[in-house]
Parts: sequence; structure tokens; C-alpha cells
Amino acid sequence: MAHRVNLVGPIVRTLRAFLWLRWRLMVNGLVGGRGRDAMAFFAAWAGVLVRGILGLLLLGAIVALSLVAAVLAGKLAGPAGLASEAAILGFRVVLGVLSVVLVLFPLMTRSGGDLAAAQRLRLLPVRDRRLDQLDMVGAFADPWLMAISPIPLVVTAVLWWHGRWAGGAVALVGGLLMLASLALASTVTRRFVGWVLRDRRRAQLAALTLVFGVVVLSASAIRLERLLKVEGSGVVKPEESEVEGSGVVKPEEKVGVEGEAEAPAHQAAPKQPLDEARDLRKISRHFPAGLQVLPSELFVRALVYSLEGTYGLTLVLLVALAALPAMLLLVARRLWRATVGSPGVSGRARVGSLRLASLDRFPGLTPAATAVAWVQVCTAVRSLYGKLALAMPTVAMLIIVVPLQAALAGEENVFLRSLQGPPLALGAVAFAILGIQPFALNQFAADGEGLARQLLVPLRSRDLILGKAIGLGVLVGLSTLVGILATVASVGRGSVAVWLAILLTALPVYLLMAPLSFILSLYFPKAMDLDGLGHKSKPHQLAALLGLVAVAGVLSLIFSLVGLGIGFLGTPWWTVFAILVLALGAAVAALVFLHYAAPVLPARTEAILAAIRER
Amino acid sequence: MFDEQPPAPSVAQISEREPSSERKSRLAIETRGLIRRFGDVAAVAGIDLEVPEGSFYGFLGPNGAGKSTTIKCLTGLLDPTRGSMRILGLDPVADGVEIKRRVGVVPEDLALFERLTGEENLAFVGKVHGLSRQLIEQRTADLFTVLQLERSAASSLVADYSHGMRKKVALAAALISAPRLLFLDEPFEGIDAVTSHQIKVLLQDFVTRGGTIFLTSHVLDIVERLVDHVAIIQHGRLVAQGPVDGLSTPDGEGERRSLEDIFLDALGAEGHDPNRIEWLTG
Repeated sequence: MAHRVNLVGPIVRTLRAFLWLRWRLMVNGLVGGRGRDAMAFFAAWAGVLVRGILGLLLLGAIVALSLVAAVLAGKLAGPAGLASEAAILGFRVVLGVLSVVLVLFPLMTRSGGDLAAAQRLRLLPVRDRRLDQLDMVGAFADPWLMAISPIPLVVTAVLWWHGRWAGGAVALVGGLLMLASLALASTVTRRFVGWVLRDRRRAQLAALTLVFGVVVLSASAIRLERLLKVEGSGVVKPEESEVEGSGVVKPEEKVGVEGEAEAPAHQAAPKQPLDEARDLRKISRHFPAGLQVLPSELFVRALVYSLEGTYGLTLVLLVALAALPAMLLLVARRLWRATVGSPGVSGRARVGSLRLASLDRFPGLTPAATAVAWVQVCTAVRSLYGKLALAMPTVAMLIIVVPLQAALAGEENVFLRSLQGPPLALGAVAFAILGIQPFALNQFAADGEGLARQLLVPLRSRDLILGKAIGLGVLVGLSTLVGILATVASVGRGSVAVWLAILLTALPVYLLMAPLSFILSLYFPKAMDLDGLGHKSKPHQLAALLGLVAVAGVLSLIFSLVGLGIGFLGTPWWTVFAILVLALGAAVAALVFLHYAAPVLPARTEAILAAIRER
Repeated sequence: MFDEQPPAPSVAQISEREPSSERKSRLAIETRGLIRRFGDVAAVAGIDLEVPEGSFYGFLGPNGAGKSTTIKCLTGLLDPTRGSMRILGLDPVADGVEIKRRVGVVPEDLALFERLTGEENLAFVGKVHGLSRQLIEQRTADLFTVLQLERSAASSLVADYSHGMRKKVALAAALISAPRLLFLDEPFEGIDAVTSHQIKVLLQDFVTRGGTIFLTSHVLDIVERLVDHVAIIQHGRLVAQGPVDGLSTPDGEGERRSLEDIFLDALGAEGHDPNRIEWLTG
């Protein structure tokens, strides 16, 4: 009797082993190791609670998207035989946005640690290809893909319910191919990110290039669009004049979503099937050509053509949709071999000449506290996340300022025009504070084993706390200053007093946040990977949530004061004075608070060290 | 606003002031009924340590016996559940910072800043100890030479170092303040033979000049050649303690036993017969 190769058994066995591993890691993470105290248990369970809330939100999103899909599919299955323009547009926008997010999300969330875990699994007697397959299957657990997954099934069910058998079949086959394509595209992105993150130097270069590339691209796109508008305004065809000849559109003729001017309500007439077919072509025109290779685009087009009875084109699109996962599979395998299957590379980063030995002290601080502040700054500026946080205000301001200037060019409304000016720069302060949150809200655990060194040397608690507060303050100040300078360069107007008032706003905001950041760092410590981009580079979920609420509150308070002083009273120098007084008060309050809270630190160090070592 | 204190006297300064016999009569480390619990588990279950000043003290035990937990309690990284301690005659609770000024530590996890270079890690420790810039630079250069740390490492982050290089930097960080007492948790693990020899010479010289070393290691051959006192811990309790000579020949005569024999006797480990694992050896 010929020997039968059992393929299913090993796959199921491996899958079961990995599911068990995931389960045990989760349970052990909650139960914790030795050294955990009651607060650490609370922090762990609070993290689970936050994830549970996010899970419920995901469930709600799945239900909502399924309902929307059912309604849109009902419109598609209408008796006219031609697809409703709104339904098609709805499908394309929803699926398109979710697809782009799904594929790009790993760029912002994945950490190099994923591949390190995969490399450990290679020591087990499991075929590489099986690990590769399990990793790909794991992409279906992505919340974004889970949100999209029911859509093809719902559409199929609704179309079949209306007796549109061919359309339903295309929705099912095309939908499954679309989901496979998206899962594989997400895997490719994730593995690519993993490959980039293997080398810290390469990772930092890539991340910064990406961030600044976005600014340059957005600025170029705006300029190009304006150029095209100017050139195209005189030569557009009559049927497109409402869309592209923006210079001649009357205020009462608002441009619709599909790019067609809406007629006044009393003139509206029911659309004919031929008009709707033209709508479809118009919609296609107004979607960038590059987006039309998206799996979601191929899926919707195949579906629409099948409903129109154009089966030849439907088949072509389905073949294209089937070719996409095949190509992505090859790329995903190549990346797997290039990362997990090959030895890692060590990218030794050369560091700048920030020499501690030659640094004496900050005014009013001991040499020990100065050294702590210096280490805090170094830790931030030499990490991927720190570099991004420092660049965030500048990048964000440029992304906002450039399009806003383009949008408000020639605007008569005084309020709207004022938005281009200095008040916009308050955004730099907000981004600077938000960017530094991962360091501030986890200021002790973010040092990793460096914290143990700080506990082994003759360093008083107050020096450690004060040094950290000064170091974080320097980071906030630096990123705010650069962000505001970039805004000044872009906007190019406003009085010195106004700009100074906005720059100084960072001071009371930071000082008011400092005590809360200190407390949250003590009670919600978390091991961090500052060279990753995923959840490992974020503080504890509950600390992040509380921090965000507090930042929103403090920013609202201070920004209201600035708005009152500059916008309504028109007294920028008095506003500067008021901000300085507020900053002084906040500094005194923070120092008094830290003086009394300092003794809490030694009581929490053991729990913080335990959290660091649980990474 | 902030008070500053001069650096604590170094080993060399102490050595000049006091004869060796006087130092030996004092205890560098003394614990009474030291207990450290993690939940229901007692990692350290009541140990009474007596480490004479100026001794090279080996703290031995099998894996999980409580060696690292004891060192963490003695260096202030963990609070003991119960018991008393005195380090260099000072109370860790009342004089924690003062003790740290006189002590150098190479802990189990090395305790280095990943995003500082080796040189910067030493500079941080030096600054906190109140050393001048010139002294930090001079001592860093000396330690880099003795520990054979490449100068190229000076411009690389610790995150890029090999395990052996990290260990050398951690040792240098423990030594840069010229402490009177050194806690070394597995200092020779992952170190190459040449550097290991250099370190041994350095440590022996440190003890000869009056310093005290409290060392844990699994490499009994190395420990035997270095230490003059030894304590053996098992299940959080001391099972033997005293001068190596006294433990080698308990009755003062007869054949001298090796440290491995002392260790195995103290633990009551007769050795398991590997043939019992038939599925592996059969």
C-alpha cells in the first residue's frame, strides 16, 4: 500500500500549538511574574479593559459596515439594471479607504519584534514554509480586514435575495479574491517594515524619509493642482466646466461629491439609466488612475459590470483580481526569506558628539540631575520614535499650513484669513506635547535597564525626577521651537509679541502636565521599544488615554487664554506676561508636588524594574 | 539650592591609612535573617552573611538558589521582606545614597543605557559620583585599555555591542568611581580568555589594595583561584560559609578538597545517573 502523506495533521498540530502559545502568553502576561504588586496587576487588567473596549468598537464597526453594505447592495440590485451612482461611489469609497488603511497601517504600527519572534520559532521542527503560511493566515486577524470581511458575503446574500444570481456569484468570488489580496498586501507591508526595522540606522533613515516625503509630496500635489486649475480654467469642455473650471462656478452651484454641479431642487428631474451609466464613467475619471489597481476597485468594477451584463469585462477584472494575490504571494515569500530566513544585519549607528563629560550643569541643578537630563535627551534623539516625535510639530505644521494657504488664497473672510497666521502655530505646541507623551508617560521604564543603573549610583530621588523633568522639557521646547520657526517661515507674518506668546505657551502646558506624567509613569510602567513603531513603542494604554484627556484639557485652557489675549483683547504683550505668570505658578506647583511625591519613587522602582524585564 | 558632597575615599586611600589586619576584622557586608519573598515563594529564606572587609568573597549556588536576589537586596534594587543589613558599616535604609557612593555593581542584567555609547555610560556614572571631567576621561581611557574595549566602541551605542562588550562596559562602570566594595554577578560569563585574565589580575590587585569583592559565578575553577572566602546558598538558605582554607580542610589536616567537592558536598548532590533517562541514552 502506498504511503499516504498527511498534510492536514501537521498544519493543524502546528496551528494548535501556536494558538496555545498565544493563549499562555496572554494569561501569563495577566498573572505576571514575581515582583509584581497589586498596582501592576491593576495596570495589566486595565490594559485588557482598554483592548476590550476597542474590541467592542470593532464589533460595532463590523455591524455598521455590514448594514451599510446591505443597503448599498439593495440599491445595486435595483430594477433598472444599471448601478446606482451613489451606491457605487459608497462602495468604492468605503472599501478603498479601508483597503488603503489596511495596507498602510503596518507602516505605523509594526515593530521589528514580530520577526524576532518568528526567528525563535524557526528553532522548532516546523517547516519554514508552514511558518510562512501561518504568518500569512495571521493577517486575517487584523481588525481592519475583519471589518471588511463580511462585506462581500452581505453583498452576495442581498444580490441573491433579489434574484441577481450572476452578480451575487461575482460578489462572492471577487470578494474572496479581494480579501486574499488585501491580507497578502498587508503581509507584504508588514514584512517589508520588519526588513527595514532590522537595521536601526536604516529604519531611522527610512522613517524620516517617509515623513518628509509626505510633506514634499503633499506640497507638490497642492502646487500642481493650483497650476492645473490656472491652466485649465479657460479650455475646459462644456460638460466639465462645473467641475474643473472652478473660477466660473457661481456660489449657489455647489460642486457635488461626484464632481457634478447640483441643480436647484425645483429643477431636479429623475435620472435616466443612460445618465447613470455616464455617472459611473465620471466617477472613474475623478478617481486617481493609480487607485484603480486597488483590489477594492477591481472588485467593485467587476461587480458593476456583471450587474450591467458586460460579462467579458467582468471576467477580465476577475482574472486581474486573481493575479494580484498570486503576485503578492511571491513577493511575501521573497520577503520572508530575506528577513526571517537570513541572518540579521547590525547597523552600527554613529552618534553625534553630545559629550556628557564636558557638560557641567544646568543652572540650579546638581551635576547628577544634569546628567539625568542629558541622558533623557540622548535617549530620545537617538531613537526612531524620538526622532519622529521631535520632527512631528514641524512636519504636521507644514502638512497643515501649505494646503491651508492654497485653500484660503484670496479669501475675504477675516476669521478664515486669520487661520493662516500665528494662531495656526498653536498646533505646533499641541503636536510637541503629544509627540513627547510616550517618553513623558513612561519616563522611568523608557530607560530600560538604564533605570537600574540610575538606581545603583548615588542619585537622590529628587535629582532623578528633576533631571527627567528638565530633559523632557528641553525636548518639548526644541520640537516646539522648530515647529514654530517652520510655521513662521511658511506664513511669514505676525508680530514678534504674538509669535513669542505662542512659543511660550508650551511652557505652562508642559509644566501643568509634568506632575500627571510623573504619576502615570510610576503606576503604569511598560517595557518599550523606542526603535519600533508598533504598540511596543507606546506607553501603557490607560496612561495614554488619561494623558490624552489631560493634554486636551490643559491645551483647551491655555489656548483659550491665548485666544482671549490676542484674538479678542488684542494685547499680545500682556498675553506674554500672563503666560509667564501662569508658567511660574505651574512651575512652583510642579516643584511642590514633586517634592512631596518624590518618596513614592523608591516604593515603585521594584515594580517598574519588573515591568521592564517582562518585555 | 542643592547640596553636594565630595567623592567617597577610594580603595587606595583606605589602604594607605589602615593596616590589612584591621580591615579584615571589620565586616564589609553583614546580614541577619535576610528574607526576600515573591508571593509565597521565599527566594532568600533568612541568611546571615559575614563578609570581611578586604576579602575576595565567592557567593555560590545552583541556578535559582537566590544568589542574584541576594545581590539585588544588598545593592538596593530590591527591598528585603525581613531582616537587617549593614553595608560598609552603614544602614542601607538610612544611608542608601552614601553606600552607593562607596560601592560598584555589575548586576545580572548589566544595567546599561542602550542609547549611550560605552564612554557615555561611564561619563554618566562619573558625573553622578561627582568626578571631574579630566578624571572621568583619564579613568575611562585606563579602563578601556585594561578591559581591551575597542576605541571604535566609543562612538557606537551600547545597543550595538556584543554581550561580552556590554559586560566589559558594565564592569568599567562599576570601577570608574574607585569603589571600596564591588558586587559582581557572573562577571566572567561571555568574556574572552584574554580579557578574563586581565580582569582577574585587576580584581586581585583591587583586593590586595584593600577593596572587597562579593562575586557570584558558576565557573568554580575561576572562583577557586580567586576567592579567599566562600558562601554556598541553596533554596535561599546558606549551607556553608567561611574561609576557603577552612572549608577545604575542615579538621586542619588531610588532603585539601577542591571547591567543586566542597560545593557538591554542601549541596548534598550525589549526581544523577544519566542512564536513568533511557529514552535519551538508551
